[in-house]
Amino acid sequence: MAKRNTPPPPELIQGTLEVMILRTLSRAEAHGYAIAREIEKLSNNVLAVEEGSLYPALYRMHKRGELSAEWRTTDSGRRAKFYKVTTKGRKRLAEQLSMWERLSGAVDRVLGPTPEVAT
Amino acid sequence: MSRAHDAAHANEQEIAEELALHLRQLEEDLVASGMPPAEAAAAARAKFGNVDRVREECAAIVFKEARMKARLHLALTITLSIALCGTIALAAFRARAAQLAQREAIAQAELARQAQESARLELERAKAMSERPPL
Repeated sequence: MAKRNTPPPPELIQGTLEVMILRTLSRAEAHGYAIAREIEKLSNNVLAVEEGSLYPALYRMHKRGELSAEWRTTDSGRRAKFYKVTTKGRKRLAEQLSMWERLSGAVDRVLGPTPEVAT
Repeated sequence: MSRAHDAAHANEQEIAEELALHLRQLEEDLVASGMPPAEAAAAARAKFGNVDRVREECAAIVFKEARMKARLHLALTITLSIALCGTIALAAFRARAAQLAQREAIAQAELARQAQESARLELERAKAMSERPPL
C-alpha cells in the first residue's frame, strides 16, 4: 500500500481501509481529515493511501448504517462532518477483527520458522 | 420528485464542502510543517488524489438511492393519476347512464299515464253510451 507503482488488489485496500476507519472511530468520533491523520499516525506513515479514497469508503459505510454523520462546528470554528460508529458498525468491527486474527495467525504459521521435518 | 431533487442538490454541495475542508486543512498543515505556501496547494492536491473523481464517486453512492426513490415516486404518481382519471370517467359514465335511465322511466310513466287516460275516456264513453236511453 505504501508504493504507488505496485498497488494491492482494490478489494484488499477497500476492506482494510474500512476496518481501519471503524477502529479509528471506535475510539472517538472524528471528521474525515482527522481520520486520515490518525490512520497515518498509527501506521507510522506506512499506510499512506490517497486520502481522497477515504471519502467513498465513509459514504459507503454511512449508507450501510455502520456510521452516523453529523455536521458540527470544530474547535477552530469550522463546519465539519463528524462520523461516529453505530451499533451495526461495532458489530462489523468485532467480526472483522476476529477474522483478521484468524487470518494473520494462519499466515504467521505458514510463513513462520520451518518446522523440523521428522525423518 | 422536486423534494428528492433538493435533497440531492444539498448533498452534492455538502460533499464538495467536506472535500474542500479536507484539502484546506491538508494545505494548512503542510504550510505549518514548513512547506512554502506556493507549493502547499499543489502538494495537498497530489496527496488527496483526483477531487472531481472522488466527489463523483461519493455522489454516485448517495444518489443511487435518491434516483431510485425519485423514479418510484414518478411511477406512483403516474399510476395514481391513471387510476384517478379512470375513477372519474367511470363515475361520469354511471351518472350519464343513470340520467338516461331516469329519462326512460319518465317517458314510460308518461306513456302509462296516457294509456290510463285514454282507457278512462274509453270507459266514460262506454258508460255514456250505456246510459243513453234506447232509441
